[in-house]
Amino acid sequence: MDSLDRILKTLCFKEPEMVPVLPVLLLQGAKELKLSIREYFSKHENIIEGQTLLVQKYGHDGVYGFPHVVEDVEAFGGELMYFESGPPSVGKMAWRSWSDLDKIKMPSFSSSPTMMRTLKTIEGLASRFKGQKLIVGAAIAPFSLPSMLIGTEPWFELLWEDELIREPILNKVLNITKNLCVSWCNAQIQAGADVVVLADGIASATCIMRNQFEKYALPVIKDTIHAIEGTVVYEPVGHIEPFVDLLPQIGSGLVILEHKDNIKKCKEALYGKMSVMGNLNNIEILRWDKEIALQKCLALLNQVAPGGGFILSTQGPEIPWGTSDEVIHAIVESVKIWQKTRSANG
Amino acid sequence: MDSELLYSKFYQSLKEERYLDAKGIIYQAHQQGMPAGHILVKLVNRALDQMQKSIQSQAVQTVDFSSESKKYFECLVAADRNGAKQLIDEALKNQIVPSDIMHKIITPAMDDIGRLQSKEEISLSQIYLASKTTEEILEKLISLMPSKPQGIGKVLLGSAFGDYHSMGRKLVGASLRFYGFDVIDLGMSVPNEKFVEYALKENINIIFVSALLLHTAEHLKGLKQLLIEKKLHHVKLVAGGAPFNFDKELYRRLGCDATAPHGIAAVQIAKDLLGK
Repeated sequence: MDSLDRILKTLCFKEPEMVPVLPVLLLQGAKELKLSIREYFSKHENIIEGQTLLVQKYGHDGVYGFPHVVEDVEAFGGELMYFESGPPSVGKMAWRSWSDLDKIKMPSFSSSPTMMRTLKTIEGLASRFKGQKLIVGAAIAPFSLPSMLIGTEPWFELLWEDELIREPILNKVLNITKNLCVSWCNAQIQAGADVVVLADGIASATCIMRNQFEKYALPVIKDTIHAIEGTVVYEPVGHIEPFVDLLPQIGSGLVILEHKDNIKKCKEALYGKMSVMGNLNNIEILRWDKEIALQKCLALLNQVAPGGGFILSTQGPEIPWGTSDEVIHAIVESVKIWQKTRSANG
Repeated sequence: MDSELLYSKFYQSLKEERYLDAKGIIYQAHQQGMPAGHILVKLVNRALDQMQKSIQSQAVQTVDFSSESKKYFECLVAADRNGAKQLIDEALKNQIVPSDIMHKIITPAMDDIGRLQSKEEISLSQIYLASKTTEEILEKLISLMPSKPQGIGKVLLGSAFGDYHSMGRKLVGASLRFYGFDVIDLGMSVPNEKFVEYALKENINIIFVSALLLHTAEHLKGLKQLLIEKKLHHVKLVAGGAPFNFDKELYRRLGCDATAPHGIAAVQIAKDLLGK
């Protein structure tokens, strides 16, 4: 059974011969190619090669066509800042105030060199891995993108604003971000992505109240996923357990959980409707050794692997630059060890 | 015995409910030739007036503000900015002094917000609004006070170098200011050298550094080394931000003295480090 079959089987709540494992390795290709992170991301050929080397080295089940989770701001004229030992971050905000909304035209991913490069990366990866490994694309979800365009504080302020002021701005903003998100996800799927991950960093109990999630985030997530012509993985990038009962409505088959979410309870609540992925702690991972990594993974597998509906991974957004090779190897190896033990125990 | 001394003894006897002694003092005054009218006005009436004032003042001091504080807390949790402001305006109209509003209405409510935050039972957007609303109200209250409350210590605050996220830092700054610290906020992406420069210039004992991203948090290691190089061993380094909340041991690995998961914790750490 190859990686893709394994993933499809678990998403259908059946146990594959081995639990799929997807360590989110976005930066590590630069190490393999001995390039700086900035240089690595500057050419799609680098990322294709880097992802190929990584999958050959570790043997995990997917490849990542997107370089990092902040590229979407470029479509709005936002700027990225690069670092030596971590992913890029948003530099200059694209919008200075809500009045800028009157001036902007509907943004397009084709105006961003980074996003166009991502499409070429996905095409390249598809030509190498289509049908064998899961080819993963990504986008920032429409509800969270505004915080990266104008800042989290003005976005929160708007959510608490009087209805008469809030509604026209909110509708306009979400309409713009939704349109970009849908067209951007569809372009990635057309380029060859099997799934797109919708990263929704503001839509979790960490950031907003349940009634805000229901009123503002949920409707736009549903509309967006409905309009995307492919499979969507939902990643709230925060504590989503308090809203887990609402998740089946969004129309996605898989949610990435963070380490604070009780993955067993979430899986039970979603079983048959949505699968779960996660939820190793991607900061603590820096001080793990092989043994600890293995122990953490096996504990997680014991809790949630039986019955399918589970992919082993870290919480979002990615495995840090400083994570050791032996730890990444241990994460991937853990599914084999768990399966062997399970088979031996009948 | 002069009349002032007689009065003082008389008042003290009443206050301590030693009524026989009080009666004895009246008798003594009469024996000394004090006219009955003088005894009534200069001893009895005066003492009764003072007793009444004392009782009134004690009543004001023990007024229970817990209901107002609860309402203020509820406004903050519901993000009802206008409700919170109206409640404080109402308290001012009812002649409650600004320092009582601060210490007996707002502080317990903010303590409760801090408790919710420790248990992760309140969202970031609620904390943001609660903090912003309270800061605006405090500005108004302080302007109404006869003298600005004295700061309990000076601390330095900034986002780690390369980190352009500011909300967490501002929330910590607001909490520290609210609980009486003088805060020098150096803003976003602060080079380590600038932290050290200000620590020297402003004679700072605690530096709070906020980082949302792991790779910017790692600059704290360099900051600690720089503090040691400059012989600023006494300056304590406190880290805060998402990576430190995800890994409770990260601050130690980077050489920090403590980590503050939120603003209220930052206040306690600052108090402990300054021995307040």
